[in-house]
Amino acid sequence: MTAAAVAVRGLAHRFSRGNRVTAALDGVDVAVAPGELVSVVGPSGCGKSTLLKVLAGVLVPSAGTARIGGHDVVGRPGRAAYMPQRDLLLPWRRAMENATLGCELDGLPRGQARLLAAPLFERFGLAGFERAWPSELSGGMRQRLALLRTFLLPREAVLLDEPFGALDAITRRQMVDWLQDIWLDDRRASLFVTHDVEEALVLADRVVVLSARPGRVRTVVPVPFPRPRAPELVTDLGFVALRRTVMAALAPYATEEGSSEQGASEEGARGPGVEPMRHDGPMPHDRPMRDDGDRGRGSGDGERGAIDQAGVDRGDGDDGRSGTGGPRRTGVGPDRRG
Amino acid sequence: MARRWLPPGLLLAALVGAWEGWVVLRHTPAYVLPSPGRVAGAFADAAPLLPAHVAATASEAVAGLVIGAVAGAAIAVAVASVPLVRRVLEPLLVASQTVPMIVLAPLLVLWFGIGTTPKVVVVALITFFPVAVSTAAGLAGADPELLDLVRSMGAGPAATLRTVRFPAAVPAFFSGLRIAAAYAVAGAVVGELVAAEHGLGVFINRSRSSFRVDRIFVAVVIVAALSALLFALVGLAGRLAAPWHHANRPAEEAP
Ligand SMILES: Nc1ncnc2c1ncn2[C@@H]1O[C@H](COP(=O)(O)OP(=O)(O)OP(=O)(O)O)[C@@H](O)[C@H]1O
Ligand SMILES: [Mg+2]
Repeated sequence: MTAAAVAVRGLAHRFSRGNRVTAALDGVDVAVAPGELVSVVGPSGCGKSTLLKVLAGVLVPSAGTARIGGHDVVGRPGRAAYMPQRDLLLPWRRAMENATLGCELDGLPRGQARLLAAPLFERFGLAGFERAWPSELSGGMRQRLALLRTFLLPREAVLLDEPFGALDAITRRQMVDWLQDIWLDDRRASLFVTHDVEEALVLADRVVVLSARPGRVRTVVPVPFPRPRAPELVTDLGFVALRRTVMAALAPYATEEGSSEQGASEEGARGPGVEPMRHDGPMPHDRPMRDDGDRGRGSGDGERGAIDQAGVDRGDGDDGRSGTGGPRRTGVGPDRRG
Repeated sequence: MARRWLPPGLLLAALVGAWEGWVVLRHTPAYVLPSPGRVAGAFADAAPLLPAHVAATASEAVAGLVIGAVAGAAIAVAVASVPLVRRVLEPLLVASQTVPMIVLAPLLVLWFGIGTTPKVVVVALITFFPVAVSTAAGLAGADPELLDLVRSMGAGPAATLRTVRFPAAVPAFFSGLRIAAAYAVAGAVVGELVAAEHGLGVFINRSRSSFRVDRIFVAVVIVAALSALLFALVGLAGRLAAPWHHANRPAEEAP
């Protein structure tokens, strides 16, 4: 229990505007071990940003607990280095002052904060732009500056909300490789939200797949590949198989989003989430992850690696969080088949 | 620069030309409408008298504007951060603007005497309002996600105000102040018209009682020029205070 750097349990949140209620999250359990990077993928609007806002302490959820390093962070900001979905640089601060914002708020003298930040400008590809206004930076540079600001904060956990969401595909690929390097030097417990499955797999130790709104954990996919992961990994058969697994867990809900929204979303835990799976093909790919009996259907060695890791995952479900998500879902499976 | 000032300059020249033509063709008497040429003559002729009056009016306008700006900003901060203050003050502030200055000015003279004080008060009363309204909107309009961001870093209300709300409101403060600056000189003159020893208002009163309409026009031109100068200075100060706001403008403006 105390081992987890980030622990979210039974997290549920509804936004209400007048008489319109939107259920964004429903019973989400997520845990990140120290030194672990966990990706969160899910269809747009499923509550990924909401999850990070709760952990950042700026949104009080309707139900559930959120802890960072054992401390309750619900309504108590300041425990996580949080990078919001938009880069959100302060337009009235030059690049350097943006980078040191967090340190300044921590009470560090300006000069000292600058000394900490200066070497990172080189590392983040921003050397020479210390005095530029945010409006003078390119989209990619703004994202890197926002990342720099985030990593510079001495916090136990890092929360990144689609840091590359606004970038073009090519820049994005480069940034993912680069972020991996940065993170390898840093190794802080991190939650990385993205809607790009490949990106999620390349970076993560585990990928949490959320269902469409209201977000629930559909499955947790361990990613066994050793680090550092080369860009060519994405063509590896094992990687492709994992990718298919994640896509399969995502796809039905993504396409059925419309129907699952029709009022039913507020009902019991299984209702809308399970429904679409019934008439969907790709499911078997999801099976090997959880049911050892289905192992044979996998597409080779890579898949096996994944299975092994799945075993490990269940084992080190130290706090039972990822574990609770798993078995319950496997429980749903057989019923449906039988 | 030339391109920017040429069109309004040409228009002004055309209007002055038409004025001159009208006066000459209609043989309008100078005590009704002096020609521009005559006004220029009056300017030269009154030149020794003017500096003292201009200095008095300008200093009242600037002092009033500074007080109005500070009061307006303080009211904006109070209104934006304390909901109760907002509810209590907002209707009163709006009501305060419905009282015509021409009614208030004699009362102020009654209370504060004929010195500089009532003029400064008139200017402050005129200028605080646009500053307060604009700044309050700027403070309230700070990006809520930016506020969340600094809160996530552990910023309390004071630090949030300092790092996000204040800087976000700077451009709004200056646009309110620019409007205020445009009215400040005229406000000082209104105060002087009621009772004063120095100032363009006094100059106007004296010119009127001696039927020197051309001198009244001299005063009007000076009031306009002072207002434009103050307006431009505030604009410049705004650029200096919020360089980020204009960081990518000069490039666009360059022809
Ligand atoms: N402040 C708010 N008020 C009302 N509803 C909100 C608010 N913020 C989010 N929502 C709703 O909650 C749901 C989840 O939002 P959230 O931003 O967490 O989604 P997301 O998974 O991050 O989506 P995306 O991938 O598009 O960023 C959405 O349906 C959204 O409409
Ligand atoms: Mg989001």
